[in-house]
Amino acid sequence: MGWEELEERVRRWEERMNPEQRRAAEAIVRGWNEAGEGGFLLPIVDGPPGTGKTHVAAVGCAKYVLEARGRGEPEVAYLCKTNFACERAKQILLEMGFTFYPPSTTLPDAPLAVRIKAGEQAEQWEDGVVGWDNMSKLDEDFLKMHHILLVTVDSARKVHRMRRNPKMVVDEFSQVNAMDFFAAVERVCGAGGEQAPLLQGLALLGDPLQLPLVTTQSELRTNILHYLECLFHSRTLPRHRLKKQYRMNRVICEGVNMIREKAWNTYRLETAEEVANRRFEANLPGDLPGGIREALDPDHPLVLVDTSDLGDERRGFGQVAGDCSVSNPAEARLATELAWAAMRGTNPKEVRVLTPYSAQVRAIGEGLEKLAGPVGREAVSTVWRAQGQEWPCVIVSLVRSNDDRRLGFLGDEILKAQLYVAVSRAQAKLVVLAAHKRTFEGHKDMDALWETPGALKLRGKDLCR
Amino acid sequence: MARRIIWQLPREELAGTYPEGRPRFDPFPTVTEVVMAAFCPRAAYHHILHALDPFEPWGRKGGWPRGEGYHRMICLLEQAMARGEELTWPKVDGMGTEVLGAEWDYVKPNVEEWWEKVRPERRIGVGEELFFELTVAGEVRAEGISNLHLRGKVDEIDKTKRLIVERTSKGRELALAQMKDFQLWLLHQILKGIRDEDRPEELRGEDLGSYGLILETPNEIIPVREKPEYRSRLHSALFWIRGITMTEEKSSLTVSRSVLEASRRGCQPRNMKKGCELSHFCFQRSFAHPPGEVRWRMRVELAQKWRSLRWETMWEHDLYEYRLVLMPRRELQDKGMVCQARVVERLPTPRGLEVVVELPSPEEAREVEAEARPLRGILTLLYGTLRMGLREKGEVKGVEGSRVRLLFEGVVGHRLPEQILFVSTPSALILTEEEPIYLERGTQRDVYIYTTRGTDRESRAKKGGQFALPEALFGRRRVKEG
Repeated sequence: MGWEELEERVRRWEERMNPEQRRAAEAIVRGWNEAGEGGFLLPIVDGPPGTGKTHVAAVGCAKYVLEARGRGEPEVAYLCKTNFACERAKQILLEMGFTFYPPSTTLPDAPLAVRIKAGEQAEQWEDGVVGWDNMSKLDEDFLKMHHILLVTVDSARKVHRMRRNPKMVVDEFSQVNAMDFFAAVERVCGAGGEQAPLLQGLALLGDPLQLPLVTTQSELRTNILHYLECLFHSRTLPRHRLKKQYRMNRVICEGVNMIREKAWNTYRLETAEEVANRRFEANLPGDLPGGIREALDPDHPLVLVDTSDLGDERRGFGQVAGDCSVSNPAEARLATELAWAAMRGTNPKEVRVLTPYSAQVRAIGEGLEKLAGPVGREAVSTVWRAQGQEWPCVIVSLVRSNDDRRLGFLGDEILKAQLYVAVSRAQAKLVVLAAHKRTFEGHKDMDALWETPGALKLRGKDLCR
Repeated sequence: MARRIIWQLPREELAGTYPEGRPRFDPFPTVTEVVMAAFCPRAAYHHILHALDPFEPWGRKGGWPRGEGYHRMICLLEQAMARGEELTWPKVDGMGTEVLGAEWDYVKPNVEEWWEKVRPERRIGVGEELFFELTVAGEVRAEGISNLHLRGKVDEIDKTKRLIVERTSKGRELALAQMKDFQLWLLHQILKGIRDEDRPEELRGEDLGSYGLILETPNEIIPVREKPEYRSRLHSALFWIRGITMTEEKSSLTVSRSVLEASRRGCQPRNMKKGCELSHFCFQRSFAHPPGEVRWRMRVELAQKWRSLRWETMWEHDLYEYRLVLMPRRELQDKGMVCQARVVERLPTPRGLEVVVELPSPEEAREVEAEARPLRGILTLLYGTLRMGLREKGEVKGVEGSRVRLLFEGVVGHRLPEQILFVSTPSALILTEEEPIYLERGTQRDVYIYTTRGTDRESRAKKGGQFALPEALFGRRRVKEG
């Protein structure tokens, strides 16, 4: 793959982009010194779920590399908070036309990108991933020649050795707080005194409404964008808003819009025509109870199941030894039954169960493992871990069910983000299990979701019969 | 008379209350932290909030951290002498190359000095009972102090000669300047408080309180005796640790009184502290870009966030340490925090100790493997008890059925275990797998160092976004639409 091919692909990708995406990609290319005297250019791309922000970042980086190539310094440090986000960005860059070359191969004059990971062995070049441990001088020299280095924020420390004048792109900034952000700048261009790299530009991409870091400290939950807005006395910073989403069926998107509008008071998303009528067509087994069959009916993309009548939540132990968490055995059984029915009718990897509590992950995982084997256990995760991913069919179990309306850590702010992230992972089918009437009623976000036009509402007991 | 200190223990938190905000208990300090706070409050402030170490050479270019390799070699040599091996210097030289590889070049001069000057004086005989690198944790009983628990590492206990040894690769002057004698006294206080049943079998029934204390440098042995000032040092260190760690910032424009007070106790140009590697932070120069007031405002804005990172590590790590020390073993087992494994094969290698263990079931073996992933190693008690034993990180090399193969890098010449105890990685969080605390410490350090960066050269300031960014966020530069 050469430079001409990359140029051609960037042009084709740009043609397919909507105007907002094109403007956002263009903004990434600009450097801070274009702001002129007394100014600082900080492009911010606000990309809700499915709006293609990582594609925008890839096009922006590719355009920057193509432009800066003439100046001889096409270097980008692409930072994500999680390994998953980093891997995904790498895949998109490879699709775009970037490639990687291990040491000992004659390095061609081509656009190169590679992911650097803490702790991996340096020999793992075949997947475009290199580890710090045992890295030789030869490896380092080869890394210097790659135009884009992908790293997590926490392992960005050695980037300054590979970059002279990088542009820094921070993806998924909802998980990056102020401390992470400043630490990342230090890691990318800190050491070396007067010889230290000089930062050519900076861009932030992400959805400010998504889940923040998991932390015991509220101070650290504020993402960098909200922090900057507080710093500027609650002024909304200028940002590029991506409004068209390419993931969710129209009805599911409507559910997401209800939460966005009523709970967050922010703009609506439009659904791209090509995904508006996505269906989850599962070949359901004949022995299913009527309620389960109805819940998985492809004609109802969004199904809201009120589990108030099923039973109480319980304290339990989570996946990590020693931690205390909450589970809801009845809801876990129902989620297991729904997931197993859906998995039997389709590729099991297309079905995912999401829940905020690790004890519930454990309960559902154990149930599904008995029915489906290891693939069953892998089909369940916390909402936090699901960020950045999507599946054709998603079942959400919100666990809390008590008469005192106690939500625990799911208190309003976190619930909003948990619910928002969980429902926006679904492409064609979404089933939400929640004790709405008993525990969640009165919470803006949950009420908003429950009012979604076109959603099918069922009672937990009806499904269990 | 000094005020009485009642150290707050995490009573409710042990039962599993939801971790959130300011911890309702005091930190579980290490002996080194207490020594730092006694050495210099400003250094303690940098250590607690910015993860900077006053006793580690700053920004060392090239070379290895010599301490670890030095300790490893002395441990290996003393073990060999106790086994009655005939050692000559060329043989020692060969062992050093084999065990430490390229690091040996840096460690060799100190070991050679020890070989010539200290070894004849220590006279390690055949069959002597030596215990190395024991992690000790427990209550320290001192006048005017209640509930204080400390943890630390004892370099060596010589049961035959009834000695507790603190070893350093530094010379006498530096070792005493860095209060190594006080450190040894603190370790001795912890040891005195550990009950018989909480000790390794071989050390039960021993009156550890009557053991002699020696500070061993590469060229001499310094006996350490109790001094009245040690108690006042401990008192003052605890006040600083609690003040700096626990006092909240009241508003975004102030820093806590403890921090202000600690900052004032730094070095003065005519009164520099010997042995401090952070003294240059007391005399920070100001740069034209970003200007001093911008950097000051940035630090003030971030002050509470630094502390929040410390509190996060208290919930994740200090609480975990309290649990290991305060909770009965049965309860730890019930909660899945520890699990026991039988050693079926052991193989000392030059790289370290390789052990194959058998767990009660393949599921538990798989859990150990999964647990090892986030930290790239699983905390293991190789020997002794949770209050007094050899704790090491083992790297999982493979799992076969209910058997797990582990490598303990750097563990050489120690007693080899019959049973080992896996200790679950620290986490008090509910939602997701835990992050190791070194990430938080790394963030504290990197952000602080970022606030010290700058340039006087106009051309660099114009080209480098890292200098313009703080000015845009905390100064007069305007943030423009991208």
